Amino acid sequence: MNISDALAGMPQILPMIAVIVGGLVTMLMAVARSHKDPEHGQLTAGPFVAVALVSLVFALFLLTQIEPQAKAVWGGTLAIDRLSLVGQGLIVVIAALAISMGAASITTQGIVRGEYFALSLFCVSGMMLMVAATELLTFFVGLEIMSLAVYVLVGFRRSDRRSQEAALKYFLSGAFASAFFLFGAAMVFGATGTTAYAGISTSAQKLLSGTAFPMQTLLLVGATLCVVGFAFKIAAVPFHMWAPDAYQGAPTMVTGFMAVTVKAAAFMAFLRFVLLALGDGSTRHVPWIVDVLSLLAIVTMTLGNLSAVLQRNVKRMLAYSSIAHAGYLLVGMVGALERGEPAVQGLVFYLFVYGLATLGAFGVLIALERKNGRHDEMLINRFAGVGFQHPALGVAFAVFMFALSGIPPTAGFTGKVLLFGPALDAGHIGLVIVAVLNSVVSVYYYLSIVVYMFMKNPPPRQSTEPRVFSPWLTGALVVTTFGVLIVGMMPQRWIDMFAKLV
Amino acid sequence: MDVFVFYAAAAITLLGASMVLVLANPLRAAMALILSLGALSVIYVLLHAQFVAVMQLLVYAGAIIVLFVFVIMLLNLEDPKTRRSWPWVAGVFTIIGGLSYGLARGLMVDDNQFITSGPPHVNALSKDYGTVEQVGREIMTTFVLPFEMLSVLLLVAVVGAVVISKKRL
Repeated sequence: MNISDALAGMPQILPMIAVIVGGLVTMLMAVARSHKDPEHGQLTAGPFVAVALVSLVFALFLLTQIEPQAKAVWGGTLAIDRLSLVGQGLIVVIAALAISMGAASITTQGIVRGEYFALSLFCVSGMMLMVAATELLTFFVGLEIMSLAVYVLVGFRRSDRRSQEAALKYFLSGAFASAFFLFGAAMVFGATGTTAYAGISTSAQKLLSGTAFPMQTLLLVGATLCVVGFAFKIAAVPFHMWAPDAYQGAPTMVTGFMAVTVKAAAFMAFLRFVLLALGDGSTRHVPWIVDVLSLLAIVTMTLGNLSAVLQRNVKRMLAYSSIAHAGYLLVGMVGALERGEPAVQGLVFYLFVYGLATLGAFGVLIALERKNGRHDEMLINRFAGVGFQHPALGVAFAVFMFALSGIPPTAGFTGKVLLFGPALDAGHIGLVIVAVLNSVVSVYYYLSIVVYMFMKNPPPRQSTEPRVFSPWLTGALVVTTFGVLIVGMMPQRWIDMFAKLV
Repeated sequence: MDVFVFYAAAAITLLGASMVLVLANPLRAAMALILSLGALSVIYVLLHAQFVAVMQLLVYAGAIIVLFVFVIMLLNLEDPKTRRSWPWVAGVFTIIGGLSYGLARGLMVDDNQFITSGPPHVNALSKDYGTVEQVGREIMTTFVLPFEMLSVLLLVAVVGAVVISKKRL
């Protein structure tokens, strides 16, 4: 292969380039702005959000222009199949919503740096690379771009010790996860002689059917370590320790961003790795992968939900809720391994729904956050009576909670049906029963916030300070609320959109 | 010949690594680390990874150790007379070491094949596999996309470091 062959893939990475250019522009804008007003550091978020949205929308437009193809481009490092295109589109849409929501708190939360937008956009480009990568090295570069940017974003509120602590914890455990993954990838490379998923798959088939014992062990240990690395990133139990602290300590806008986009990107990359390298239902090379994923799913759902019930801090509760959702998604992954295409659809659909609902919930928290939120504990009794003070926010939050717990007519119900269906078809009845029981448990803590909002009186001393009105935040909240409802009420159109993914 | 060089390099690597653990003076430990990393690069050469070997010397034994030494000197550590000892840490690491040894033995179940002729992939490789030229060619063709995206990674790292650590923003 020569260089011109590689460059033939140029049009396929234009969306990524658009996002990177957006990041560069916001970075330069941040420099120019800080020179204007170094004393107060006041920042108007408007122009930054506008540039970020333009680059993201343009990237989305470019993505719709690319024809999906079965053959990987760029020397076999980048897939341009539908899963890659839809996955990148999903990340771009959700990132656009998250960045709009962040605009409201960029000035109120003591985060006055425009680099927030630059890092978010670079992070998105890394995620797009992760989702499209069909090769371990490329995936790892994408993973590191995403991770480094998110570590910094978590610690962005530098004056807040909790934000610093969260960033440090997340960084250290994330570095461990990367090391695990890299060690595993090296072993897989050692056993198979290639880093491309397709090559690993054929080589693994040969190795595991034969009797080459040393190389078999090397391959299986390596694959296990890779799975551990992925499990860290999606926050599956027992690799979830970082999640509650990181979610709670990070500025709320960053929590929303990372809870959704990082999980979506890591999950889709995980899916591709498991399906392509370790083999799908018909050509499963690593026989125990389904059992391992089922076990991981059960432990993750149960521990996530039970811990969430105990939480008094709403951000922490949502962190455990996102761990529990990683468990549900793993059930979908078991289905995808067994049933292939329709299950992959269901998984991506659920990621979309989870993204809208979780992002919306964090958007409401952003709207309710006090100025300089470091003194704001976000405890649950702080939400008493909020439903009467801010009816629209209260109703929107209730919709998101219904969606997360999977109550019709929200999209959460449709999503769960599509997610659990294939696993049920494939005969994993016990797994699905555990998942449904867990959803019942989750209703308790999701609705307890709604109960506080609408059925308790506000504490008498609570000052109703005026909230900062932000058109960006309002717009994003409207989109997510109606998104959750419309997708839930007429799911067929949206399911078709995610159809024929692999 | 190869086997002899391998055993010599492996012995020096292990010696350096254990000296890092045992030596009380952090500066001496850093020097012992250089020994270990340098001998490791010899093993890389034996594995047809000449480029990695050179990078090992330049980056790890060179730049990273300099960084370590700077940090040690900046921290200005006291004489470690009141060092705490954690017996359970030693226990945990003994277990981990034992497990990795067991794993390695498991991998080398066919001792003769592994020790006399090396892993099969390495022997099947052409002579110039792993040279700077070959690696460079791969980076500029097959892996040109991840290679270029590394620049974004470096940019994120630089911007992030400034945002996190600059005194007055």
